[in-house]
Amino acid sequence: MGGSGKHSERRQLLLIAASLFIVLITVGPHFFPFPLSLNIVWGFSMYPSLKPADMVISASTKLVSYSPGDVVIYCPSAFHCIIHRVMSINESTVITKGDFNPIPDPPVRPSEVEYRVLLSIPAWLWISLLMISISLSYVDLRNLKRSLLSEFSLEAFLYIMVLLALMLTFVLVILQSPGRAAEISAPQIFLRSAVLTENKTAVMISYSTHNLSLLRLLSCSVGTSSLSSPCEGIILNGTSLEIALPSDLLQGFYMSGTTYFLVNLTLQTDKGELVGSYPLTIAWLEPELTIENSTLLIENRNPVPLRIMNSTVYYMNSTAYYGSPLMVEKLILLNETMLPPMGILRETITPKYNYAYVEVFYEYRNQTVRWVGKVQFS
Amino acid sequence: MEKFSSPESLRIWRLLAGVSLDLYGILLLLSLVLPIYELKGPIEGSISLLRYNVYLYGTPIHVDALDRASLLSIPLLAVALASLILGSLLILQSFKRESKPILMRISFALSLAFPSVSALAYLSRLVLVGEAMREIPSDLGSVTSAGILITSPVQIFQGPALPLLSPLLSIFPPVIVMSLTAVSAYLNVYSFLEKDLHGKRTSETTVHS
Repeated sequence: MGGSGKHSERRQLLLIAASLFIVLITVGPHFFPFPLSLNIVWGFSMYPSLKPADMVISASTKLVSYSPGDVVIYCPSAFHCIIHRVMSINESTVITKGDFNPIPDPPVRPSEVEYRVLLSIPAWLWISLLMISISLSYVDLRNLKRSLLSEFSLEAFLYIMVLLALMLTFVLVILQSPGRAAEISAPQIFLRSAVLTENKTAVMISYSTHNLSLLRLLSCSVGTSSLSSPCEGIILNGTSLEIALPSDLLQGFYMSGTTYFLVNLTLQTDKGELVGSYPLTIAWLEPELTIENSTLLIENRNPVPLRIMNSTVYYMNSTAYYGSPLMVEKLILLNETMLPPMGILRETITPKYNYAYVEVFYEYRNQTVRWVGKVQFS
Repeated sequence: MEKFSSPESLRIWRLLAGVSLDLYGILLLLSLVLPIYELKGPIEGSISLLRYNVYLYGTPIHVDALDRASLLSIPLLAVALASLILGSLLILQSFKRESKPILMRISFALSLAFPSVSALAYLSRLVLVGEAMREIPSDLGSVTSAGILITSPVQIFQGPALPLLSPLLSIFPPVIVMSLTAVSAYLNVYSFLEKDLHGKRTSETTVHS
């Protein structure tokens, strides 16, 4: 019994001494120079080399040197220390960086680097050792079975073991795992383009989609606040949509000189409905009239019919009247004609005399326009 | 005291401790297994502490916070199962009128951890499931250059485990079970030991006399 008592006293003394030593190397270095330091990591800046709750044992830089690649400790304030890896050293500065950080830290003076990390102990290991040591402090190791079954020892041992399991799970799952955002790939749709086709009779709308498909058009209208019409001839092809512009609407735009209009539509997708409104512009161009090789060319550059009222050729003879030009013949080249949208009309002028003037009357946006061109024969 | 430590009284205390352990085990098991939230709409599925099934338009999605909640639930599940087994054994023991102090002692040791277990389950729900619910959008619609994408809303319903993981149920049941097992353990084990010690002293006195 006397031997057991002495042993117990020795163990208690050892425990107290170990506790005091741990407290000393944990708290001491914050207040006065100490050869060894014990720190607990907090934060993910050195992940995955060091994780939160890991323990690091380090030695004073007065005793050990450090070089790039070593992990060092410097303390901007008494209770806030930084454990980062050395990137580069020169005479006046040391550059450090956390392994998980995207950029280096602000430079520090070499004298500010206090400790170099010698050893890191994973959280699961030191917590387990600590808890097992605490639980074993209740029992007599020389008579383990009897001691473990004695009053309250078994209860304390089991309780600490359950707590250890809970604590380790908490540390490994919560503390040491940098959270990731949930992988939720929401459907997205963006407008790639909304343009008029080359012949200006339809609108091409193209989308870029993610995790979404276009099914059908629920409603669609084209126009302005004063002039609008339902869409016609809709073709849905994958992520593109072609909407024909009604000819009546185009005629209305042409006559009123409208150059800006909207396409309003509701599209059914597999993930819901898309309500879109896309502004578009249309440029109205005057017809192009030219004479090439005794041929009158009239090009309608608009998506509406062009009304040509008439065209007359005036044949001229330059020597007919004492050297002054004189019209010698007048010929009707065209009667009232409707030139189809984007159409080209070719009318050959029969060569006669020296030259001729061609006069064309056409209607452009409610106005009668007269065009005159000259054709030289020979 | 003698009235409390009569064999019939001890049996009833053992039975009470067993029933309370079983009830706590069931409560903990249900709070781990039953859904805390149920989702309907574009995102559908159910979320419980132990496992989750969440689908975005039929495709399963991974939520890190819920994965961590599942991992954290494993020791809690072990404690729930241990509580159920120990409770059932104590009930069986009390019906058989047997007395194995070791079972009562293990039950008492386990019940000491119940407040921590319940607190961990409650915090998992509060922090991890809460974080997951903040990450799961209630509306998948968006406004982009293409226009306004209108999707049906995600409906979130509270599941049966949510009230089980309330602060009140995280404090009182474990404390009640702990108290019952403590009293029962004291009466069944330590009064027995005291009696044993008293018996020894009496026999020693008899021998000396």
